Amino acid sequence: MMDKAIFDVRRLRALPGPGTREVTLNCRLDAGEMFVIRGPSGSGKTTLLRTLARLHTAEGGDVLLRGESWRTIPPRKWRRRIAYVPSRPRFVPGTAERNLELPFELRIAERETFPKERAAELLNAVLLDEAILSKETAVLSDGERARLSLVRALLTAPDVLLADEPTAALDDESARAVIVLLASEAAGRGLAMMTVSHDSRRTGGLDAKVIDIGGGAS
Amino acid sequence: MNGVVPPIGIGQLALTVVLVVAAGAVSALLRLGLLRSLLWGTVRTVVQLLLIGHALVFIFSIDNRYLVLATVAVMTFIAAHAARGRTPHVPGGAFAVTYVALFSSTLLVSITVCALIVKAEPWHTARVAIPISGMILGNAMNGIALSLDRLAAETRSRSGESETLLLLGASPWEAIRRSLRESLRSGMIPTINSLKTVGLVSLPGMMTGQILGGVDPLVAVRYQIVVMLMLAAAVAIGSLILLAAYYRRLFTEDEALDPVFLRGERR
Repeated sequence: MMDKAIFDVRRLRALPGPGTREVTLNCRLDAGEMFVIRGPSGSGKTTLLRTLARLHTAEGGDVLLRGESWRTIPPRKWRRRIAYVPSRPRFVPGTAERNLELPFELRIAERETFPKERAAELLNAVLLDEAILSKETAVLSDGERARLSLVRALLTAPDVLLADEPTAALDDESARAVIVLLASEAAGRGLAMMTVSHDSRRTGGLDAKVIDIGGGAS
Repeated sequence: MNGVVPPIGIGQLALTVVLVVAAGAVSALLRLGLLRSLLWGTVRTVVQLLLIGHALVFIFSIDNRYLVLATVAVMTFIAAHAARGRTPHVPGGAFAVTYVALFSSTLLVSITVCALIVKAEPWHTARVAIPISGMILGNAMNGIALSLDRLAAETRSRSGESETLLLLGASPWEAIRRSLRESLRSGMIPTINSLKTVGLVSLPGMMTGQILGGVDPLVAVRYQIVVMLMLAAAVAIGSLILLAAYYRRLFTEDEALDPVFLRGERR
């Protein structure tokens, strides 16, 4: 009970690609807490998020979710609890609705059902009309896609949200709505959050700690 | 059998070479640059088949079950090697899987055919088992090479979609299910097409051989039906075994798509 951190990243090391410089991360998130990883393009911010989602293999270090090391948690379960939303959202072919239901059609969600009301609530919160559900994802705008993929990630009620530039594709109004939603998820459900930004102004309104990985080892 | 195959003498063999020479002359005349490969192909055909003929005479005369098994194992080795050569998109290390998929599907189908359908006595009679295994291998090899190559290409081109699924908690199998389905399909298509056109476009080689040998066409047709269906079964079984044994290798230990594979490097 001493350790209340939800997400504890200990000396995580990752290599963005062959022949690049290693990036490191050390941080602890309590429930409802937010971190912004800041650094110029190419500094390895996205690599760090991908590593935390275990899409990218770490060079070393340990990550604990509620005190449990990621080595002891199966990847599928991990990704269900640590939701990573890439900066360029991707969907399977089909309507927005089909894509929102997707996480609940997987074997890992056998005992879960699609939370229809919550979906409506979240869509509403990010200023998406419910009419969007019947549209093919291919015809959506970048801003709509970004918000849809955020909604999809939040639907599975993760413990931690890793969001790569969540507001970059949005106009000011929807960016504000997203920030308000994230702040209320943090306050209300204790969602811990880590976002990446090359521009700290876009996190305005979020009470977040900033980690700079700009110049390298910090 | 109610007929005897007329033997072909050396003189007659030499005569067919004239046909090749004619083809070569056309190629030389039009400067197609095919003369050398045509000649080389001719030499290889003659040498390989004569050698195989002698090997078969030897194997049939001994007719021992272990020798039959060893022969099939060697044939599978050659087929697996050829299949790997036709899969440029696939990273290294797939040989063993290819071999196992080919060998098990071939064994399964040829034992079924030899023992239950043709009812050879004993079921491992070399004269029956080896040609049947050979036919199965040739087809399963094509099917497996096609599906393996397609799996790699599809997985690469759909990596974004698969990654999205993984992020939502999908298992590796769920994440690349569409690629798996496509690759199985493309492995089966030539076989399915041949099931549809057999007898209409051309008479299959085995049936032609039997008819030339004096067998009643109705008997030859039945054999051909068995062959066609067993080939389809072998291709399907072989591709399934291959995909099931191989797909996990496209992923890292952490169930992410392997970046080395995605970059297209050979390991």
